[in-house]
Amino acid sequence: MDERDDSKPDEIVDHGQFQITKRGGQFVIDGKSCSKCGHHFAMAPRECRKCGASLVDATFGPRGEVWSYTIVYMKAARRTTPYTLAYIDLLEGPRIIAHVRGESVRPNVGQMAELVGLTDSGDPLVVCV
Amino acid sequence: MRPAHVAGVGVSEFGKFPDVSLPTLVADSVQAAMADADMSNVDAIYLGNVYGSSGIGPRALSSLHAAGVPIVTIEAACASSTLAFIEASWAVSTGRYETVLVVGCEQLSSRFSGGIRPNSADPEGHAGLVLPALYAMAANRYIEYYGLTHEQLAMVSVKNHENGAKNPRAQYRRAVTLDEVMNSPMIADPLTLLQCCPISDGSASAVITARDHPKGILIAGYKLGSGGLWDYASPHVWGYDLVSRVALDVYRDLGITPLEIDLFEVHDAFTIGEIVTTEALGLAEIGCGGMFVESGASGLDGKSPVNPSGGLLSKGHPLGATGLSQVTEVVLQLRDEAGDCQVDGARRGMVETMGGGVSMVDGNACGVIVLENNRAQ
Repeated sequence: MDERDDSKPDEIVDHGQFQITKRGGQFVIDGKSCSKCGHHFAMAPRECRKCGASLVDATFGPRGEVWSYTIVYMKAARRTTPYTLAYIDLLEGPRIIAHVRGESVRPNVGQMAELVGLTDSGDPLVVCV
Repeated sequence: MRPAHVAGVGVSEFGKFPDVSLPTLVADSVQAAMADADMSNVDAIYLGNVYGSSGIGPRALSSLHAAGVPIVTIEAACASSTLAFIEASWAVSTGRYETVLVVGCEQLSSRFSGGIRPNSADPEGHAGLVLPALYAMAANRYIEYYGLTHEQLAMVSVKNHENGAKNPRAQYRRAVTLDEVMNSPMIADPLTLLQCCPISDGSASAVITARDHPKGILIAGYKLGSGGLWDYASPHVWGYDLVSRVALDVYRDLGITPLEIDLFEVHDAFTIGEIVTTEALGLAEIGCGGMFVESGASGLDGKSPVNPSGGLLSKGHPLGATGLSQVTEVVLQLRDEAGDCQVDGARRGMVETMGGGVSMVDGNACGVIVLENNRAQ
């Protein structure tokens, strides 16, 4: 059996707000959970934004559920259109905004999705499964 | 607390005027409001604006008599001048000032072409979640979760454009058909172009006073709120919780229900926005906002007319000016001066403005105002 130390990341990709790490061959988000109320955060606020208590390190992903999505046709910020965006509720984790891989791909609300890395512009990238 | 009244209102033309300066637009609305109130002096000025430079207060007013009165500038995204109005009302009611001028203004067309660029400091903005896309997320959630139809979404646009066609203050004065709305270019699926408000320049002003005034419209109640955390834990789409909370506070303060309000000017920057807002204001059950518009209840002759002015979709959405434009429309309704948009017998009206959106926050600000004509008939 291939033994690997999953506490050590293969690769760290700093998005600026999210820290996406490839660990054990899977992309995950290193975020925070509240030490008191258990609320999850993809970013790392100074304190729990729900109750104000202190936070502990937590890892989320790579799987989640599509909360909703849109296909953007409007030109803004020099992007190639169209592109599909989705809010993904990571299992036992926070909601993140992500690009969905594939041209004009139309997910469904509630569909499972998996974090597979970052786009060229450094945003979380998911595939719907 | 003494009562405060709106003594006068005025708006500039709304539209795309990249060559018209902000001070010119502001002068148009301020002179109109002061003339409407038949006043020449105020004790303070509250000004709402979003994309202005530093010193925007004195700068925006630089085409008018510099009276040297205090100028308070408020930024709260789309709700900037709604909050300016609320703060000015409070200042008059508590006796800080006798008469206050409130100004909202925005010059967008010289700054943006297409849409407003999202703030890339937020993950949403960085990923390209432009504002229509944020609302489109809510729309698709409603379509799949509550069974909202594409036709119901489009009906909001048809209704508001039909109203706007009758409003001389609207940027777009043309009725549109359901087919036109649904077949207009896609902006952010499922929202088509005619379901999105335009980029607009404009200014709107109001005079608030504690004095008895022959045109006075009572500022009966108001609340403002800023969004709490909005994320996976909320069962609702973005903005619902905030609008609902603020509106409930207003109803509770006044001891009234939504059915005791004769008309509503609400934040319909996008069609889904009006649908969610009618639910948050208690006009429709959650998930039933689509059926509410389809039933005709929010039409000009319906039981609860929503956006008889044509709303932001027709009237335009010069961010900082929007709230006071809504106030202007309600005041004219309550003075029975709304012309072809008039809601028969309107005595009490509500303004709701929603400003967004910062990552994970349920709206930067929401302001809800209730105005009343309490003069004897």
